[in-house]
Amino acid sequence: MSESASILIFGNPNVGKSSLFNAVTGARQHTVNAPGTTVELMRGTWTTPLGRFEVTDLPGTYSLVARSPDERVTAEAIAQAEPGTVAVVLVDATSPSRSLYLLAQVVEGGSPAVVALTMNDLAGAHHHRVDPAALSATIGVPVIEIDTRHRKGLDALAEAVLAAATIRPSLRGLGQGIGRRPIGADEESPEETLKRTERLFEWVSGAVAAIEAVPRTRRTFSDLIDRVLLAPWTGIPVFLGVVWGLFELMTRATAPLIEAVMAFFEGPASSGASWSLERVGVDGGWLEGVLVEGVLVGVGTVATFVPVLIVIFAAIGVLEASGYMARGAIVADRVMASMGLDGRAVLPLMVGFGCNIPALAATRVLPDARQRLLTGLLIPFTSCSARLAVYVVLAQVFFPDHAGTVVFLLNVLSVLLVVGVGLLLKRTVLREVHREPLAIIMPAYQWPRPGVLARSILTRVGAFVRGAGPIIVAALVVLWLAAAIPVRGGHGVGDVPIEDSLYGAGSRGIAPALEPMGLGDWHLAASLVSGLAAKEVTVAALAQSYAVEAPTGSTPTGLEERVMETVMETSGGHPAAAGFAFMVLVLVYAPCLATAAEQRRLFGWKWAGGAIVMHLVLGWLLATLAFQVGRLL
Amino acid sequence: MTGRGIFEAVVIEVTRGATAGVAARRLGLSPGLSDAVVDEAERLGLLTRFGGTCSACEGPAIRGCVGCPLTRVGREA
Repeated sequence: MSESASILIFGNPNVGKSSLFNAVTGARQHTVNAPGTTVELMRGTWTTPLGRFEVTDLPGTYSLVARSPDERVTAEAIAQAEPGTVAVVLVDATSPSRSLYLLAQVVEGGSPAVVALTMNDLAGAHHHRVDPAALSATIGVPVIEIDTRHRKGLDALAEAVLAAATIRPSLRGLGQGIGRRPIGADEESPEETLKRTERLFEWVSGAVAAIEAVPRTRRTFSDLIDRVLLAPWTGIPVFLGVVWGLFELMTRATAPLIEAVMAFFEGPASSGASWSLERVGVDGGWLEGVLVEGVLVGVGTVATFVPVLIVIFAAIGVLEASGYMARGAIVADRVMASMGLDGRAVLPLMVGFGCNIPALAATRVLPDARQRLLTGLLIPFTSCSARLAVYVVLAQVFFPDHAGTVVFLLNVLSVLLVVGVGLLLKRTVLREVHREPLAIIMPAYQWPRPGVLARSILTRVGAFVRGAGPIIVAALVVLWLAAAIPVRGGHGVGDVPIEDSLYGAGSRGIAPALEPMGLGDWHLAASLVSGLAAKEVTVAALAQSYAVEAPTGSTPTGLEERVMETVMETSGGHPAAAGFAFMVLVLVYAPCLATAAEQRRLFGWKWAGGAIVMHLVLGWLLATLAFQVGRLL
Repeated sequence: MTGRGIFEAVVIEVTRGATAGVAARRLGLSPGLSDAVVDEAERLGLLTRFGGTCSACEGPAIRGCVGCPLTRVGREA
């Protein structure tokens, strides 16, 4: 008995490929690496009364247009197959369309094929049993119904494979093109690929129509919801309403938690640390300063962010998992389309509301360099979650009764800036950018799973704390050192009034530029400069500047009260207007250093530098406008 | 189907905001065929699956935002 043919087993995932492979090879199987890869394949010998077959179980795929190394092995198997190799393509009777599309690609790739029909009993239970003879007559390829559990159809399959090994590959009704390279091959033009794809799907449609009636599906509840959420006149208000509700929830739910955390670090934690240092005899010196006013204030700030981040990530997680966020992208695309902006930029911009840096990375999906540049310049105007955490804390200081609405307005301003600056750039320096539609796959609505959501929140918050925590603490230690270095007045290091320190002098130099927006104070200037390192540092730097300045033996006062007191004075009695201007400045005045560095890497010094100048000018103008208008109200 | 092929018709429906199921119903196709078209259009880069704002933070392999230095520690964990 000689080896008669080689068999490659193709199929979608979970259609029974491995079951067939195990049933025909038994113990006569081994593992090999696919040529030039680390992908493992199962290979074995199938001994039948008709002959012996070398069988290879290929990784499952829905298409020969591969998107993973495993799928690439499957896609290349046809090109590397020796003459006499037969493809056994498993077709799932419960969902024949996807299997038949793979069959069409396999045969078009030049491989003779036999169909092994699986799960027909399951299809029969749902009254969609496929008649193998009818399917074979329709597609012009042998179709063998198999049931590996009962070893049914295996002999017939062997017979069909032997017969197929000697014939020219073809599919009835597919027409010209058999034997060419697989679809999606590198040298094929996009137009050719689309034509071939269209032709294959037309063939699949005809084949499916011949074996099963198209089920009459009724409009679902999800469809009805989409009619509201995606319609222009209802979708946009609903989207805005959802976002506003989110910020209301965020600020109201976190307010008491933030207060409690702040009170703990400003009170017991701070006193406890000082007491402990006193007990070990290192109190009163620079070490106490670094530990209490640097490290502890930093840790306190990170701890303050934790409840905010939990609520932010929970809200984002629910919107994403439920499928609503994708609807939001469609709605946003329509707004952008009405202004002539590119819909494909919506996704990176939405990512920007999480973090600007992955959003810049996401611009890689845009095919045109000018489009990537335009989107990359707009991303820092999206209000990232780090800025959101700063707003939530500041809004509760300046607008305790309307914090949610204020945070919502800042995000609306962020969107308006994206659109406004986008239009401005498109009509000036980036005229040649053309609009293309957004093309996203709409997920079905589903209830978020609490376990998955909890894990996601834990992972994101944990990553933020581990990543941002050291940066915030390190920044505050550096700032404390800057506050300890004298620049005038003949003081010693660590024994210098804040106004004579490097930190104080530098901040005082900047403060006059903030006077038109009612923020001409060195604490505020210092926090904004510190926020350049990472936006989260803004609040921590405020807390530290007050902690450093606090006279020994004075009554401890909360950060909120100190900030309010300062702004009341700098704004001439208009703290709300100045507070809003401060938050506008946090939103606009500059991207964080990491974002600016990524912009420079992607677009070069000229564009990154220009973007920083644009942010500084626009931030100053908008914050000044916000204060000047706000104080008249 | 307004003279378009199945593949093009489904892709157009999806770009207008339809799910694969809705596209199948509107075009009189089986849901499986519509799913297959959407999957292939995604492989060919014609359609994008919506990942969300922080989706890059998820998954067993990538635990921090891609490229985000603030979450690098999380990603390496």
